[in-house]
Amino acid sequence: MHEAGIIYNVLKVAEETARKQNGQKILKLYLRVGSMSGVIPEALQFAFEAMRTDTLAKEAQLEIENVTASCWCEDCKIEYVLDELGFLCPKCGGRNIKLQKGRELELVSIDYC
Amino acid sequence: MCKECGCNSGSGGTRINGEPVDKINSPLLGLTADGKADNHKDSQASKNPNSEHHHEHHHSHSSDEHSHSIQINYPVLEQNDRIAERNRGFFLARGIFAINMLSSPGSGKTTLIYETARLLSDKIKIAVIVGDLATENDAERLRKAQIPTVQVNTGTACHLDAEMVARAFSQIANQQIDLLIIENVGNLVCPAMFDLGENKRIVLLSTTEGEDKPLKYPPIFHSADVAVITKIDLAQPAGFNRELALENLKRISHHAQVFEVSAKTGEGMDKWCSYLLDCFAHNKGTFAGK
Repeated sequence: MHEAGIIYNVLKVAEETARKQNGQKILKLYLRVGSMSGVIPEALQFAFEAMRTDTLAKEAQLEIENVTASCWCEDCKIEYVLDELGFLCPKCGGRNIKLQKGRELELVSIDYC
Repeated sequence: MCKECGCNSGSGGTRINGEPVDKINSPLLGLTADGKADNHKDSQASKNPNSEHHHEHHHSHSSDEHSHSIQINYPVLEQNDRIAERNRGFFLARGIFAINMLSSPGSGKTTLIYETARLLSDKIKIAVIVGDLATENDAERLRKAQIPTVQVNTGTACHLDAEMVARAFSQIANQQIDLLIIENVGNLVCPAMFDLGENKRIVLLSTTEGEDKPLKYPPIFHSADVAVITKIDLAQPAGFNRELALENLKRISHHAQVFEVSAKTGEGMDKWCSYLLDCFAHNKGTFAGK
C-alpha cells in the first residue's frame, strides 16, 4: 500500500539529482531493498510504472537489488541467513543476535544522459 | 494521501479531529497553517550535505547516448526518521513516555488502551492519538471515559507517520501528559517501517488470530519491544495453543518482553500496567538525572 509514496520520493530525489547534473533523461534507477524492509519489490515496480510518466524517468527502468536478511550471533560470531523458522541462531539456538542485513530501502544510484 | 500523485507524503486526505491535517500547527514542526512542511516543496535530499559530496560519476560511451551514472545512496525513509527523532526528543524533554501500539484490525487495541487508561487514571495522566482510515468511533469511545484523545483519519493511507503524530500532538500539547499512547492503523505490514518517535513499540497478538501471526509477519513482530497476547479469556474457545504462540514469538520477537492479558476480565492487566508505570518512571528519571 505504501509503495506509491516510496516511489514518489525516489522519483523526486532522482529527478533533482539528474537536473543538478543538467541531465535530460533518466535511463535507470537502482534501488536496494531488504527482505525485512516491509516493501514488496513487485509493488514497487508496479508503482514505478504508473508514476514515472511526466517525469525525467518516463522511459527509465527500475532495477531492484534484493538484499536477503541475515543475522549475526554474538555468541557464536557467525552470520546466517534467515529462514522461515525465525531469527534464532541455527548453531546455538540462542537469542543474542542482531539483524545484520535486510532492512535496506535505498536509492543507490541513477544512470542519466 | 496526496491528491496529485497518490503518494502518502502529502497532506491530502488526512484529517486530525476532523480538520485537514495541513491546517493544524504543531510545536513539534514549527509550522504555519499553510503547511510549509509539505514534502513536495521541502526536499530533505537537497538539504542533506552528504548528498552533495557522495556523488561519484562514471561515464559510459558504449551506448549511442552519452550516459552517466551517479551515486546517490538516499535512504528513502530518512525524512520520516528525522521527524520521528524530533518527536522523541520533544517527548523526552516533556517527561512523556510514548508507546506505539500495532496490530491487525480487531486485535483489541482500543479495548486494551481503554482499560489501561482506566486502571492507571489515578496514577498518571494518559493521552491517546488514534489512527484509523475513517470515523471518530475509537476517539469517541475513549473520550467518553474522559481520556484526552486525538483522532487521526488517514484517508486511504495504511499507517501513521511521524509527521501526522507531530501534528496530532498539537491538539493535546497544552495538557500535562505522562503516557502518550499512539494507536496505529490496524495493519501488520506498513506501520512496521514508520518510526513515530515512540519509546516502545508494542505489537498485539490476539488469541483469536492464530499462533502463527509472528511467522507470517516477521518485520513487524521483529520490530516489537513488547508483544502483548490479548483476549486470553477467549483462548480456550478459540483453541489457542499458548505454547506454540510463545514459541513463535520467541523465534521472531526474540528480544521482546511478552505480556498475556484480557482487558475484559482484567487478567494479566496488573503486570502490564506496572510495566508501563516502571517505564514512565525510568524515562522521566533518565532526563531528570541529566
